[in-house]
Amino acid sequence: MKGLLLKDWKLLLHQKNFFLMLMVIAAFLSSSVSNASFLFTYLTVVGAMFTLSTISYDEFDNGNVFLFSLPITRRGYAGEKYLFGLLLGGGWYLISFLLTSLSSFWKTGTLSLEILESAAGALPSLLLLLALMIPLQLKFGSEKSRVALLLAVGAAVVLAILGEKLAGSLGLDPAAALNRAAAMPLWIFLGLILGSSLLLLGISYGISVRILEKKEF
Amino acid sequence: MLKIDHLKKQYGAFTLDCSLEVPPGRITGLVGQNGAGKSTTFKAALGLIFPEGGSIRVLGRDIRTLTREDRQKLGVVLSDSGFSGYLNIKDLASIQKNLYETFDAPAFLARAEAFGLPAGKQIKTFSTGMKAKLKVLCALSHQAKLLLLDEPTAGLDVIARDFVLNLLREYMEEDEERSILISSHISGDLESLCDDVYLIHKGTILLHEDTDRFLSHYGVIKADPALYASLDKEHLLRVKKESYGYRCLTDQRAFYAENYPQAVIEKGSIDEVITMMIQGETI
Repeated sequence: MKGLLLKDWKLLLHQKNFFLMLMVIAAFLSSSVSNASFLFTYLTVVGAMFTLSTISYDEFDNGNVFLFSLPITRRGYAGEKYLFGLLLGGGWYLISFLLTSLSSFWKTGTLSLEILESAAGALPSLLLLLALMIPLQLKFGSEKSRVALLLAVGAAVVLAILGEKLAGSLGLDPAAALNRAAAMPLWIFLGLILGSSLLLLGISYGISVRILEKKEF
Repeated sequence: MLKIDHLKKQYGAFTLDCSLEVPPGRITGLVGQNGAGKSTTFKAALGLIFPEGGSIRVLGRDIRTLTREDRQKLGVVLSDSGFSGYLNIKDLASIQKNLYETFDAPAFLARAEAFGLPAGKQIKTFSTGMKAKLKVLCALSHQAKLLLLDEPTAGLDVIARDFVLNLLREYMEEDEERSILISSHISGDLESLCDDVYLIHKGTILLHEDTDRFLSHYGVIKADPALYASLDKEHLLRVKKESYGYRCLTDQRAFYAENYPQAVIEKGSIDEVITMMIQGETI
């Protein structure tokens, strides 16, 4: 796995200009945008998107055929993509935390609670993005996975509407359930969201392994 | 080292049914036209596709149970695939060092320099010949026991081809237990390198022969209709109608040379045998 991580890191370094640009945008946003949550989510998600670009690099020019002839396993490859996504997203997450904290400290002299809440809130975004996009990209490739993502989001919306109608016909009130969840202490609520996201990430990893184990190159 | 027994794979109308063996210490060639099934055979031997029948044993193990450690003993060159073109040779050195326990990074970098391959330039900027040299160099840099080389000389000029073939010869001389399966549609390469050759056509192995025997026993008889009528047909493998009469492939050249001294008999070559085996008719 170390070899694969190194390969992706080396590929990433060839996009260092894009990274530098992202750093500049981050620095600009941290000083001008008051909404720390936006900055966290933006940087973490954009950072994690690089993981998906490494899958595209692997596919490019029929590269997967050679890649999977190397001493790696399909399970190891899937695991590496999740780990790389977490490391990279996590890296940007830390950068966001550092920048917003510094900015907050500079402006107010204290570390605002909003930053900590935003930090906790951005983590599930990272996990859910990886959980959704990695299997889609492995299954459909970089082009078709975007269409698949749109279809998946569309399907999720349709399911939510149908679920709401079904709940209504059964006499259940989803809005009340959401209100009860929102009334929970914030840290418990965020903990539940984070736990669910981690569970989804685990399920997603299992799906990715199955996709790769059935894939021919 | 490698044993493929009735490997079956179907792609639409194309069916692969292939058996071949590469024993230790041998260089085995796989020749055939484009689309004959060479690359499919390589992909199956690397576990990249799933056969519908038959068995494949690599380094004594079923391909489905091949471990990461086993794969470290394989050196692979694929004509249409390789490391990402966005990487450079320095990147490859550190990546392979972490993939292969036996990878010798300083030797790899030194040889790359000796081959005129710039260490800091992205591979995508390399010429076809440079890319081919690099692929072979990667395959040879971790003491692999079995080299699986699919068209390693494709697109190369004569000098570059000779260079690559010499690398392979040197590699075999270092350890007599090493083996190579190499495919090419340039049969001249294989004549000078391989111990034995399989001819594959439309997914089926048409012929398997030691290279020496190809050159010493095979021949093409050019016969006019009268001579053809008088020929003993027992040792004729294929016959092709020509403007002057018949072109006949035999694996008993000496027999015909002795019994038909008036016949024009050309020495066999892999190219000639391929052409006749594919285009000629059985008697």
